[in-house]
Amino acid sequence: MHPVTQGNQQLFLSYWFVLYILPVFPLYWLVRAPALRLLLLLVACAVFHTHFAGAAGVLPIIVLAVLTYGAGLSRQRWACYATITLCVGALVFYKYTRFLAQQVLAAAFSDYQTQQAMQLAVEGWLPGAPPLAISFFVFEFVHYLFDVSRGSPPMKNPLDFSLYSIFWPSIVAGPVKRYQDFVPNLYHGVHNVCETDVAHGLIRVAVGLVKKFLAENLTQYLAHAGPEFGQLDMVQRWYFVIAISLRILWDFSGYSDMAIGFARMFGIRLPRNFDWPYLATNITTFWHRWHISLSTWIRDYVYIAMGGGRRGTVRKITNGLVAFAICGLWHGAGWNFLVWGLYHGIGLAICSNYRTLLGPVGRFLGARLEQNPIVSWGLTMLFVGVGWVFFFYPLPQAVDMLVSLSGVK
Amino acid sequence: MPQGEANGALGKLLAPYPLFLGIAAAFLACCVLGYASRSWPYAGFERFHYFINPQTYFYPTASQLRATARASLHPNRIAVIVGGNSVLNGAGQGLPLWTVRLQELLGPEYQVLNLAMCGAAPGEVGGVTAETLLQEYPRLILVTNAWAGESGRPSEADGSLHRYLFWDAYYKGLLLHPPEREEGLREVAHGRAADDAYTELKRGMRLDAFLSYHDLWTGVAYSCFSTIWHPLLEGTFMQARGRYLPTDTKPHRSEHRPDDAAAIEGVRNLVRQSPDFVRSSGDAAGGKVVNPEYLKQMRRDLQRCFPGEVRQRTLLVIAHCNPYRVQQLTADEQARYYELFPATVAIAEAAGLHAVEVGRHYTTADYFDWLHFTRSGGQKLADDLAPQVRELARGLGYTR
Repeated sequence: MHPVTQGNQQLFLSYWFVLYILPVFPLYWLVRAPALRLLLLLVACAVFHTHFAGAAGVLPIIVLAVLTYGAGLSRQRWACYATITLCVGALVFYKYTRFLAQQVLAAAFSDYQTQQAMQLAVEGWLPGAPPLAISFFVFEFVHYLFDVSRGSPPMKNPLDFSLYSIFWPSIVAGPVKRYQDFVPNLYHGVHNVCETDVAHGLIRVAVGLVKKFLAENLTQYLAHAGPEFGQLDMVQRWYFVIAISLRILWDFSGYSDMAIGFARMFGIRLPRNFDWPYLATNITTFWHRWHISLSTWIRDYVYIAMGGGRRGTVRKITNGLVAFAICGLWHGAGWNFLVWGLYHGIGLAICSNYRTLLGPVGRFLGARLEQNPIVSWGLTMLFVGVGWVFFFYPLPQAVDMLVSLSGVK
Repeated sequence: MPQGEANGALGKLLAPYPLFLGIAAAFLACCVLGYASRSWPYAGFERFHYFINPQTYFYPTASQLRATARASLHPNRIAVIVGGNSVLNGAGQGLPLWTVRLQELLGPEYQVLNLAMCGAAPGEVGGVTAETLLQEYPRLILVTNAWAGESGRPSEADGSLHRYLFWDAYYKGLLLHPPEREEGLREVAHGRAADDAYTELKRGMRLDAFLSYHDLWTGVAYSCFSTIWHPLLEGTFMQARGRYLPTDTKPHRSEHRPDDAAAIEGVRNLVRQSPDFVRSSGDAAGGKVVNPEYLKQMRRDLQRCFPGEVRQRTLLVIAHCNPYRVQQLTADEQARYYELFPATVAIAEAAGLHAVEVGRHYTTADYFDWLHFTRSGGQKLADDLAPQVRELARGLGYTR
């Protein structure tokens, strides 16, 4: 393999990172005083974040963090809500403005050349690359402010808040932390880190590395076979969908494993993020197993905040669709992500309600599926696999591929 | 550290200290094996082909290339290392390669090793390997190639596409440290200060000089099994790279398609990228001279890429393009095209290298595409270069 780092997902696979952790972990283990360990951890996190995000990436996060910390300390509901609005606004500005501007221009000007000219004209107003991991920062800040506004005690110690914000193992690809769990775990870690933690952490990191390695090989295959999808025979097309599904799982969960493993080597436990999602036998279970920290965040701070299932079936389904649309868009600024989110929202709505809505037929169907877990597993995986095509490719290409998969083309 | 609470099935099975010991022992074993693998030659190596070059994510290391050369070259014979790019690699020629013909022509006193690699700059790969061999094989000649004109301007002091190999050799202490190149390297470092990928590459190579993980992976991938998927390897990607046959790389054959814009542009770019390369000398006879600016810059760049000890042993080949394509240029472009070759030779010689223009009288049948040779072209190339190599050997005092 060649030493080139590209993209956020590769941060743990860079030589800089290897040289970074070489002194960080031994120092942390050798320093016995918990307060010193906390300080060392903070310095290490700041170095990591500054190195990979750069000044332009660190500054907006510092501003948002300071405001979040202040609003939390004040315990004023309006301050928390105002800061939530600001955080979400920052996320929208940095991550979605360019996409939104492109859509507006496309709608306003039918001529491609005019669109391009206008795009160039507004370019100076659009933000550059979003700050590293802004989606994770914003989700964690929103969680914190929302919970504080509902009566949870804020973090008074700025050190705790800083470490919650920029704890390096989870900075890039999660898991999305909850401060009520993280802070006790942090203190447990600095007081009690032991060789068992290190051993568990190492094994988890190794598992993550193997997954990342497999995912990289699949990425090569997908990049090669993707453009020729239409020329593949039907078996190869479905093989390709399986490859996408495995690639996405191993890439996401591999990174999460490494994050959880590195945290564990500090004695700090991060929440589990994937729980064998491809063994799920229905969509509801799938979302209990897939990117758990994100799906529970969406459930708690979007779905339930909007009323959840408390106001009738129609409202429940609508809330679910909105939650999943946000879940989709969280992964990236593109119609395909939105469609992927809505696709799962619809799937979940059907999965949760078909027994009620279809009456005796629904109940019969549900009973049969429960009796045949292999069939329900197959149907779930089919649904999930088809969804990944939306997730992985721009919308027109995804639609084209799905038409090919259906055998129509 | 205090004994912590174990958890789950793994926790019951896991004994931390034996695990740490195992990891440390395995890591150490890998380092030792990696270090040992530095001396593993690439068995059966004839030349680089698709399956053993960076195009398929196989990155030969400097130490293993040196080991391969050591295994191939006899200390009592004059070592002729062929460097350069796909033209000298023989892409498009089929077997036997032009270097086999060159070996036949040079006779048993010489020993030819083809280390040319697709996309290599004049001083890369073959050039770097030649430099690593100088101590052991003082009777050495490097044959490499460059484009004519400004396009032939050497890469940065550490190379271009395959600069990883330069840094591999550099950090392993296999290279010389001439002041011109050190100055060039400082300039490159300054110019690329914000290039994270470049910094990361150097960081990795520096680390590898201690830990030898590239040598281990490359050695294992060549001899035992590979782990990286590539479309060209498809279902056999785990097969040892050394087991693939040195199949011809077959670049896209295009010389019979008159409308092949890429091929026409390839030749035209040689002319376009060298405006004002040759100037009127201002004398009454209407003579031409190399633009002093180009002369100064290219001479400096060549001297940075080739240390003095290598420079004097280097034969730089400036090969013509397919005449079919050259004839598609305008009359003015053709005139400028033909001026580039002697001018480039003059610059190389001014820098202290030996240079030769080849292919001026080759026919379309000698070309596979717009720049690679067919088998007949390869044979002509060998015929043209053999006397040059002998003359250089005589000049260096290797023969009488």
